[in-house]
Amino acid sequence: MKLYWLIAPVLAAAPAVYPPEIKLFGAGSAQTVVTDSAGCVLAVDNPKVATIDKSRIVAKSNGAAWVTAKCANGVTTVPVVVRAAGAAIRKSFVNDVAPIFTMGGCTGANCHGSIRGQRGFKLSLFGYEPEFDFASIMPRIDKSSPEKSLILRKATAQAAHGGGFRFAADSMEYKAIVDWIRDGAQFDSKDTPRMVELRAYPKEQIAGRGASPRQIVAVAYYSDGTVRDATHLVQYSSNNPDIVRVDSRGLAAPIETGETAIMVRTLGHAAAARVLVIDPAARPTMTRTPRYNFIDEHVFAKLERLGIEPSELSADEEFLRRVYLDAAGTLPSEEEARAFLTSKSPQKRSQLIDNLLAGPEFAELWALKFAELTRAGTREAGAKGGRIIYEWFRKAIAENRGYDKIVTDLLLSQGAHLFGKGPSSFYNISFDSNAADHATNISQIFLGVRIECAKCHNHPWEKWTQDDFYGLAAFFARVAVKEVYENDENATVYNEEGEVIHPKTKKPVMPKYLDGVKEDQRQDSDIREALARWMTRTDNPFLARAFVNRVWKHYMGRGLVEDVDDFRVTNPPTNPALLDALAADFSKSGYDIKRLIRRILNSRTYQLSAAPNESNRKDSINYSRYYMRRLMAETLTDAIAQATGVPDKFAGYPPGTRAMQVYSGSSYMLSTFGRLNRDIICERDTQPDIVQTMHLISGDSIQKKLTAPGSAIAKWSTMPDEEIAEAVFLRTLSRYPSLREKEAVTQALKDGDKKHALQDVLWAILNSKEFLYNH
Amino acid sequence: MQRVFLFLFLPLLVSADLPLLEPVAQGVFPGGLRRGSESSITIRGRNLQQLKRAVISGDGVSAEIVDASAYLAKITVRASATTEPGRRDLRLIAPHGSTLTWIDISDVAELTEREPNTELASANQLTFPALVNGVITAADYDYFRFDASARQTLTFELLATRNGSPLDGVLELLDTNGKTVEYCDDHYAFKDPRIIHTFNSTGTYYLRVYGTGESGSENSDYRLIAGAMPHADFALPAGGRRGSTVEITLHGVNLDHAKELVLGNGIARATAVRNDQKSATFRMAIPLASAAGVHSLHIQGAALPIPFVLSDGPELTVSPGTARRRQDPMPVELGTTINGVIDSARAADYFVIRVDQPKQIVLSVESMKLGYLLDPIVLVYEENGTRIAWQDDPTTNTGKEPANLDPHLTVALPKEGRYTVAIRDSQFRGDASYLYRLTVKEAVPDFSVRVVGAHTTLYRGRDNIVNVRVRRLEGWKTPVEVWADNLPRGVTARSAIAEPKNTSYTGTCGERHYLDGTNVELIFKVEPDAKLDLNQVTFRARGAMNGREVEREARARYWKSRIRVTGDAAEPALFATIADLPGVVFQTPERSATGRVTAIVTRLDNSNEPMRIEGEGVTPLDVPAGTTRADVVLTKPGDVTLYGLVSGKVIGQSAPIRTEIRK
Repeated sequence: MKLYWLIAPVLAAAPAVYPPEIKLFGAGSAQTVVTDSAGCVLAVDNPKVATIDKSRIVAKSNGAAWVTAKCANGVTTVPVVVRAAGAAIRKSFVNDVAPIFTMGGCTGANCHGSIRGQRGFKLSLFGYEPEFDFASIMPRIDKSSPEKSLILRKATAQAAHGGGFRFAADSMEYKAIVDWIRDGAQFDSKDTPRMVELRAYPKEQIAGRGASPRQIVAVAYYSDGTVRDATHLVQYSSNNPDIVRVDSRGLAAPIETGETAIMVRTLGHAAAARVLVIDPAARPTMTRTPRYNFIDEHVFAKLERLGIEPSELSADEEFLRRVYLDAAGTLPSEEEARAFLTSKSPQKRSQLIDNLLAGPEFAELWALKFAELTRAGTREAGAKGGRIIYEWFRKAIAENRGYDKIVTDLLLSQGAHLFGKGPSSFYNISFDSNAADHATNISQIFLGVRIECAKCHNHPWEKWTQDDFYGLAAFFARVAVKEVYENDENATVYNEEGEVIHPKTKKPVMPKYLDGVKEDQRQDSDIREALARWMTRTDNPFLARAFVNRVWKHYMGRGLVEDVDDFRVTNPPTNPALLDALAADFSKSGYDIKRLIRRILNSRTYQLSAAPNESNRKDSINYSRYYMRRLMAETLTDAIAQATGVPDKFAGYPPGTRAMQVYSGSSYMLSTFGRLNRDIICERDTQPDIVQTMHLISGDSIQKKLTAPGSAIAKWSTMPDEEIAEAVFLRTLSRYPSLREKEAVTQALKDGDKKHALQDVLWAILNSKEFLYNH
Repeated sequence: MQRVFLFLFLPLLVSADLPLLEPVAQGVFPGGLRRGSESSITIRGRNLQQLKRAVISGDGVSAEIVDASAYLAKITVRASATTEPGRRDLRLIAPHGSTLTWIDISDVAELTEREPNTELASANQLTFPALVNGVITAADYDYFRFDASARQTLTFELLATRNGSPLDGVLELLDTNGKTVEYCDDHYAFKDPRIIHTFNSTGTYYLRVYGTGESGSENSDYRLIAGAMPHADFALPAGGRRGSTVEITLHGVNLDHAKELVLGNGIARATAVRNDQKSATFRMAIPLASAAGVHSLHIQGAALPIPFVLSDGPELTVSPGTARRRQDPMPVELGTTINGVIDSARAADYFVIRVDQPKQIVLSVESMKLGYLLDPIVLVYEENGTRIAWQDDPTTNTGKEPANLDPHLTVALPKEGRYTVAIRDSQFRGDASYLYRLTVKEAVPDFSVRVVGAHTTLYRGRDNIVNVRVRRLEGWKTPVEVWADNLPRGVTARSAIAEPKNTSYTGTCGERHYLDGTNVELIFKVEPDAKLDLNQVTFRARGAMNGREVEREARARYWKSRIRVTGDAAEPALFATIADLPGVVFQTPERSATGRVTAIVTRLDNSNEPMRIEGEGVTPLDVPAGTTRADVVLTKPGDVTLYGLVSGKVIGQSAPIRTEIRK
């Protein structure tokens, strides 16, 4: 018996059965059932209504019954309801046949779903267009002898098939197609129910590494209220096959410790089932970690389920440097470091957080992040427009304007790009940017949804269709850029007329909210106002989640959803409960950005040490410790300037400008360390590389500063040797030197020229991981 | 060494590809002078050699050339104590052409920045009111230190592009520690910044002046006007009917001490009837005999005037916010000019007109033309709310030409009844200074005529092109004939017809654009023996529509200057210089730091003979006909001139090249 089954009772207090309710419709209908516990025995209390065939509940007659699962850790029951048990359900092309081709991989981009199809047989990509697929399949069926249909002979490898064997002649898939052909091989009528939702079970499960594969169950919900077992009709794939491998039948095998999701999809619907793979042998004795706020409740609850012990609370020195760099983008000064480290106040951490959030550096940091997100300064508005929108963000952050108001102002922005104090250049991505560009950008920036694929075809990994894409684009149909004054002076305007034309229907598209209803565009009205209201409603499913995820990533090093702008069913958050709680707290607070950040910084989760323990060494997604990361380009540049006492001069900016204040443009140092050129919306690459290393070792950024007149070295040179090490370490690493470090510095000073020795010491510190990383 | 110039007089059409031979003024420093004073002004530019005259528009200001070389000229300007303050046209006239730039007449003592003032510690002290003339070179920062008291409101105006400077300036207000309190890059339509700031606390502050993105050059001059002087953003109404008495309210800051208002050069005067910090009201009688059009209103003690239009029709003033209800629009009579302000975002003013029969009307807006930042859009609705017409800009602005954002919409009202007219900002913005003048009147088809450019050079022995723009107004739909008057002996130009269709051109992406009117080319034939001289040529245009004949005189319009600003030159005539083309033109840099120079060569002598390039300090170089580029070695430091010789005769020369020879 696999180890998983030994520990399962520890993980789950009572067994669970999936799906949590079973609905059967039609003669012979059945539902696959799974449990999350070991050694379960299933039984139905009324065999006249339903019976059990291995792991399937099979309909017998109309009525209700209970399915009982008796497991080693307890007993659970779930209801089963059977309707129309005597009715023979005709096979539907859309519901029964088309999914088979998706499940079999036939509609994939590398198979018949490719733009040119394969060998003259073309299917729509991932089966999003059943009408098209029906027309393609019809010439390949034989109504008089269904078994001789080319479509079946190829799939069963009875005829030569480049795609090889797809299913057997005695399979459910084969039977479904034959039945459909015998029924007349018709396309569905307009009354045929359509799938409206697909669910996968268990939504989350914990499995021991190397345990037996476990079944994923898929349930499809239809427009007429019926429910069907779709386990055999969907396509399965693992987001990370190194952690969990899944086969075409939905059997998921835990391979390596970690966490991933199994994607389940068919007919334009998708669902995900998370699988957490643990090492049962490494399960520690858990101690209850103190909770500072609701963030810790969610983080530590999951760690406990996973058997991961969080790291210790960070030391004051760790916290001090970390929170300065994360919240203000600067190092604490020597004086600030001394004051904090010597303070005995029990509230000193929260007080420091409050002070940092109130400071101008905090606003500058977030203004820069917003400027990067909105690609300020790279467009035709140029640096002038970039500064205006940066300053607008800076002011908004400083006065803690609600995120809903910021988003509304951006959505409704218009006006000349080089004038005023508003974000008028927000839409000015380029002079010819259009409604489709705005839909792409706004969904990615604010809603965390990458919908661009659906511009050309229905989204391959998600539910979004071209109708969704152009429906969102239609909100921006009248947004335009016009020239005013000189030819580099443009203005965003909202035209009196304008519409988006659907590329397929060639007809105007009505504005439609993502996952929502259509909106009427009236004369003299600005439809973007309606969009802004929808986006900023507290129950909007996208806005708050997308933003808290971005903020979370900044402070915690990894988004609850990665990439931060790629929310989709098939890319679920690592801690859904935490994401929901953060989003709810944020929206209910009036989208209070500082409050959100204050909550995160005051959490024990944020304040955990970066030092791993045996239990959490491999964890990289559950926040069991502070994840070390390289300083962002601007923070590092400013930290070097701060440590050396030699400011940078950025081309085009007045002397005294810090890197964090460089609202557009870049420098070699900044670009080398990942500052984006803002050509596209993307996240920074925070990985270190050899170019960065070489630049720090021998490039200008450090070398020139070490020898510059007026540097910190000049000041240290005048100090008594015994005081120097402390001053150097507090200024650069925000901590006191260890005895060994102090001795090493003092010895270096004695051994040679004091100035050169200090240059060496400072060079060594600036090139150390401790300086280059936040930890 | 005696040089003989050989000029060939061939009957050629002057192409648009000719290198620039006329004088060009690129920098004017200082950019003006106080009235009642005399100032030595330096002009930087090209082709400034042999300047003979400097002519300043208007009364009371005169200028004379003191010195002129290819890149530099010095003039002395005198302004009488009673002359009208404001910007004046300054024309520089040479035998090879003329140019137009501007100088500014102020009413304040003028200073010049003292370098070095590139950091806080070396900031120049400002005492208010202050008018400082300065120059921003590349990566240059000019710092000024001043004291301000709590609740004091100070204005800081940078006059640069508005006066023709290439400086795209930035003003930044800094606190005593050098931290930014406020900044402004662009405030006015053509990049000039302005800060009006009320200080929270008494102390020492700094003002930093620089070029955006650290841009700048020796020509990037500016005039900084700073102080607690009265400042008006606009007057409401912004115009008045001739022969009427108008109550004018100025809106701005520091207006509590504005006592006297002067219209133009003393056309009318008024004293304040009530004042407060942000407004001042005057009652002014406008003489019937005054000239219609845009004039300046001068506030005693203020640095800059504001525009005021003298009209011939009824005027209506709408207080901000009083015509905002679409359901209850403000009634107006046809023929009225409405003065209003769109002072808040997403606001519009609504008016209702009644017509008793189908009628063609025109909605004409003045806002950008008067210097305001409103980007107006006008819309017309039927009584049932259906929108029947709207116009944002008369034509697409493409950067090819100076923009015009002021709508001029002619619309046919299909039946008798009430129609609602709306005006708002096309970008849905609002601001306390977004002033408009909207004239709603019955359309009387007409046209206007402008010469494209205020000066030109007509070359002897050639056909020369002058563009004239006919802009059809109020529904004019028939051709217009354009011709030149006052042509000197030896110069002829046939009339041309402007068809009733806007001139179009193709954009860089193949798209079609239209000009705001129709351009006609008048071809001036200049005989080889025409007198070399400056002539003022006038243009007229005539057309007929619906049995009514209209004849208009053209005004010269400065058009594509360094900045893409347009406006009517003070003199309506085209300044046309009759000159000879040289046989060769060398386009060379002003300086050579390497002892080598690349000259762009344009042969105009129509000869197939090779040309020798030589001169004192020049290694002789023979170049075949058709050469367009010559790499020349300079052997002598100092000013070196290239001469082009064909068959031993000089056919042209370069401007002097300031040469350094580095080893």
